[in-house]
Amino acid sequence: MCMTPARTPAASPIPQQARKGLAVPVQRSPERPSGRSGVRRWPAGLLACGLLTSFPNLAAAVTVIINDRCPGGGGGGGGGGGQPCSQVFIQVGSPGGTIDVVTFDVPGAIAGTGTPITGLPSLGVILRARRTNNPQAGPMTATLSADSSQPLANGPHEIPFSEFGWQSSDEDIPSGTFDGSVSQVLLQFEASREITVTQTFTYQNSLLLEPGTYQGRVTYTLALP
Amino acid sequence: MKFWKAGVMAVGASMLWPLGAGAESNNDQAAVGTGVSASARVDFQVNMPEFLRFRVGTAGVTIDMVEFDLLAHVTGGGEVGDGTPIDGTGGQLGAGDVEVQVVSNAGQITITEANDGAGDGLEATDGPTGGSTYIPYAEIDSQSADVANLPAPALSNAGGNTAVVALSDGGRTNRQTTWTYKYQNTDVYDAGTYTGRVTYTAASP
Repeated sequence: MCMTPARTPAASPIPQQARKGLAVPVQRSPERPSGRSGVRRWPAGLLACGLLTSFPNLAAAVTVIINDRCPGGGGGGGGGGGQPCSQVFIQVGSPGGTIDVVTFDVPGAIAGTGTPITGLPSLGVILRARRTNNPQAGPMTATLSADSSQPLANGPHEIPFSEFGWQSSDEDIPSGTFDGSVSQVLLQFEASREITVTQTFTYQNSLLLEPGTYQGRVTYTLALP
Repeated sequence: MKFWKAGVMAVGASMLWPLGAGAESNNDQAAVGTGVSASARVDFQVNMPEFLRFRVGTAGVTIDMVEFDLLAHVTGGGEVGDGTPIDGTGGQLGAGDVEVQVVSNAGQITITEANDGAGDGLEATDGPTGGSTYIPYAEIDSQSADVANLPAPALSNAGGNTAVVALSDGGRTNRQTTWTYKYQNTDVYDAGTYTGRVTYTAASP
């Protein structure tokens, strides 16, 4: 009996105020769903039916829509508005305009002895990989990789990134050591998922180095195919 | 159709991913199949000081003692002052041997010897004259097992003899060897127990 709401004829115009709100009347009959949006309205229609049954004086229908598509004109990856899209987000350290610096102060008494040195600060890592609910897309695996191919440098003197590792607050991102490669895979996981960990970095301190300040950069990349 | 777009945008706005405000919290989105990626960078910095670590004998605060027993030499058939070197006993490794290690990134390292004999040598206060008698430090030979890289400075009453440690690479030094002490037994001295302490100092220019 809910399939034909008496208070909202199918051909009646849509109230102007309903266009801006979350509660909107169901317009199409369930017998003729069309397009992807039609698929999403089935549950909403049932919900609307329930509301009408319980509270017949409140609203004709309620439709809830969850957007899993690229915003129109938005995004840096060229996704078109209204198209199913994938999204990734990565944050290493604090957000802001500067790149975080993890510093290792080596005491001369243990320099080069192999006693690990803990870097400061520890950094929070947030990863989000989201795929659209598109049946044609199938499972999508996100990959977190690191480029540590450029060693730390102090003029002509260098420290390879293989001297550095990290301890994760949990194994969502396993603890490990940089391998000095261009694209070291640190983690793969199936979207959609968010991962948040804290990483503490260590310098293995196994090299006898010239004095000075050594600086280098690791670039993390989160990607979805 | 305008109605549906309005509904989508109204709810969709609350579902959007938070957009990173800084350079190192980035995001990307694209149509399925296009591929998306976002990167964040972290800088690493190691502050390496100039340092010099130098050890002669046992690590830590222990001062090793090397002893030479001439009585044993005599009872063994030798004679005092016969020029036959007498091996030491004691020391970190026994037989008058001690480990020596120099680790540094401070450039050329030089080791200088000194002693507490005020220029007179090893001192005995229990000699037959009742006063102090001395044996010159030159009677104690110190030999390195790695003369080329980590030689031992010759001991002297005045002190100040030096030995230059060979650099390992660039301005870095990482050398370890054994020094062995022997009593040269080239002269005859008053009977007694002679003691003294040698202090080595390693330094960069």
